[in-house]
Amino acid sequence: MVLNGTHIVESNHLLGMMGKEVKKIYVVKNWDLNSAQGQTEKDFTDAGCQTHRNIQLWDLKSANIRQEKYNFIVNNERLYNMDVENPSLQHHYTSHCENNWQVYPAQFDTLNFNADALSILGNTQDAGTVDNTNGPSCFTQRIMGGNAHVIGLNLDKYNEMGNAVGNGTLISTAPIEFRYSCAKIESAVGADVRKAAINLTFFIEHRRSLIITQLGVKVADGMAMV
Amino acid sequence: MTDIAESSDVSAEMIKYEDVPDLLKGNVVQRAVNVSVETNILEPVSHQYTSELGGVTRFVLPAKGVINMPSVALCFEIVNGAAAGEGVDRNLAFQLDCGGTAMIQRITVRCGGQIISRVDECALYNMVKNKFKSQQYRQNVLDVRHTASNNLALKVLRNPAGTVAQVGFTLGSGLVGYHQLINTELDQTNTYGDNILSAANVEHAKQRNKSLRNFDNRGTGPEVAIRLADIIPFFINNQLPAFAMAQLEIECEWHRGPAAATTYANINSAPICAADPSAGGLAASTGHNISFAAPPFLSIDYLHYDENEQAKIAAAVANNGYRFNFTEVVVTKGINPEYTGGVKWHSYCRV
Repeated sequence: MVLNGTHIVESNHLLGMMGKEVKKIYVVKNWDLNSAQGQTEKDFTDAGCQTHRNIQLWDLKSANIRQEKYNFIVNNERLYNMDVENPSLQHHYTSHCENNWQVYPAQFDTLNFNADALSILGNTQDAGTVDNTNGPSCFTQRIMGGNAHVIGLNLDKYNEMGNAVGNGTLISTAPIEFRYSCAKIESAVGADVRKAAINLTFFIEHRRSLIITQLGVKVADGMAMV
Repeated sequence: MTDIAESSDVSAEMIKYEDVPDLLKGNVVQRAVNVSVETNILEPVSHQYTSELGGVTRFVLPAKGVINMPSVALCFEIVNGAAAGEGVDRNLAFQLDCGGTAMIQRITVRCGGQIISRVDECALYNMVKNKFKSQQYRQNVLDVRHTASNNLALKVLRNPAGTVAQVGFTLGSGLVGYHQLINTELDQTNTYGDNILSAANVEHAKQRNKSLRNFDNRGTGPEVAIRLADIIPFFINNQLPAFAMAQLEIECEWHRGPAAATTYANINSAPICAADPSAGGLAASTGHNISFAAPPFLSIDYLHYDENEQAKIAAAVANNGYRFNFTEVVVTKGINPEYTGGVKWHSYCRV
């Protein structure tokens, strides 16, 4: 039975990396546009923002989703005692990876697509009337709003140590695990439905070593050299 | 010994190889060294690309000198259309965040046939990494190199001189656009800090120097220059002594563009986008296929140190070998599934 309303959909992802020295993990999220449901929703917008099919960014973006929560399990230990659901905290953890996650306001956190939060990004005509559909109105909110929400995890001990051996986190035989949940919307009103699948792309940075010899190169992961 | 070394094994492993000398670290050298710089334009050994299928370009780097890898630049120009008469002049531009980097699907560096480093989903990874750069660096450096569009300005709703007072200044409620941030390639106001004066004079088209030319005007459009250090983490800090190494190759796999017959409304993913998102005709228009104006090339700086320094590097390679530690990135994917209503509050999936 399909229920109208907001539903939390969880997923669990095994990322592997046994024996590797992992440094950073980034998670990029994009609504699926190719499934039947994705095709139905692809031109829908959230508070005017083109979170699904974005006509200027396409899939080179990472959409903010309602009520996102996540946690990582590394070496059989859950990293956070509670799933990270506060967007400010999410931004804080992503910023750990390098200097700072530097995006426009409301590109990362939209307060669950709150129009007041998004109004920092241009969406009006000459008189200042809110408008996200007309040609003469500013496009910035439509294109940029909520489209730079990347989940980040820093597993380096010190960023300044760079690629020094041992600066990352050595992964045991237990795979890295990523737990993710977000809200999907089912509704009798077709245009309100937001229930398509979300494609997650994981970028996992790890340290490798390259040995240059006379005959060529040897490349190895982790601590042991071949 | 297992795959995962004990700490004592690590130190034993590390002393087997020479530390990378200062000349190969890519930093400022703290001593006087004679060096001459030779800049080469390197043509690919093979190149093929079609908008429908994508393509591959391969470079073989000559084995001489020390290659200043962080500043090696991959240069190319993309045009709208693939044959004479095709394409609309300045109708397309690159995706906003990544610019021309959006063209690169995967890039691989090999030495003697062995992969040194490979970056999959290169453009998406570049989007992520660029967000750690400052706004100033993005708009003043990367926008120029990559033909990206990261510029930002503030628009202030004003009461235009000589016109009737704007209703927003007297009533306020329901009007929010007093101060808003705008991407200057998406929304062009009359002057800095100015608002759109009327619905008739708003502009959304990208600047001329960021718009792709049509096929007949190839060679006169924006050229993308992507430093390898911008897209491959290995090259941020490392230089390669090509004169003492096996053959170095760089293979670039290009993202495919739209087919000529695909309407804009049916494009879900592409390295290029409309130069003007508000153009009415674009929704149903076709002819957004792209091609290279000319084969891409690498701009390479070779550093030739004096013989003493080169001999030291060659001897170290011959004796023990140099050890470079570097960051590699791997990509994996997962799905947070569609809500199907099968479970009332939660549905679980494992990928």
